[in-house]
Amino acid sequence: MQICQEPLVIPGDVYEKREIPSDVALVTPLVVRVIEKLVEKGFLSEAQRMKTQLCLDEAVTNGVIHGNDSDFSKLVTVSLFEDEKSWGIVVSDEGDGFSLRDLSEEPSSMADDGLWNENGRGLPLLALYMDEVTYYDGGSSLLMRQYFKS
Amino acid sequence: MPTINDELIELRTEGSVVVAEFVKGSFKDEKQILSSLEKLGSVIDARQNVQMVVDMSKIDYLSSAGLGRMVSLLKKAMSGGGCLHLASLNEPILELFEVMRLTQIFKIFPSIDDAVAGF
Repeated sequence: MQICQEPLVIPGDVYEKREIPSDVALVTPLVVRVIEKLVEKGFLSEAQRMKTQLCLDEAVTNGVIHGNDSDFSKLVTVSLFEDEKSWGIVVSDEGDGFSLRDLSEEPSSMADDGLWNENGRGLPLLALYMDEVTYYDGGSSLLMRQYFKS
Repeated sequence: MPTINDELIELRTEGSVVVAEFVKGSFKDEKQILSSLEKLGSVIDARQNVQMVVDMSKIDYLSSAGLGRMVSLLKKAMSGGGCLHLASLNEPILELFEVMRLTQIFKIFPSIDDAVAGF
């Protein structure tokens, strides 16, 4: 996982864009519609469906709660893209982002002494289930990408 | 016998073991799952030395928040001198526990009977 201060340039073509005001009640309907679109595009096997749903749910929920502080006037935007070698999802919020230091100060839930943590599993999950996870715009845009397997 | 006012969970006892069965648990039930796990925590809080089995066979989706609640349940059970066993995890959920290394702290069994016998 990387954090880039540079503005995000979405690779390839954006074929779908959806946005919601920052209310956690709106996350599930958004995720359901986006997953339906990815299934329709033929990108998700049954096994990948649950994992992608989980990643998208985590990313959008993070954007609503941590990025936008659940401020209903701020939007979380989901963009779907594809290029010749990959497909992916970008989740953007209108918050101030975060720093690498914020992340490193969190105890890792994957370490032996972090297994009893009740929080902090969202980002490790993204890193495990996606081929690429990169934060742009100082952390307010998250790009998740899967490369086509030949 | 402990009771719970929750439409997602049914409680019963097998000897001294409390068995909590989720009756459903898809992605769309996620918020209810979190709330139900919270209520299960209250059931555990109310009893010392509780031996509880959670039947996960109907759970198809758990977010990181759900995993956190599961860890919280386990901690509650152990701090009261009890124990929590998980039974019948679907493959994707079991994989989730494995990749997050939670199989190192949870005792996971292939069936409710095995989980009850495991105490």
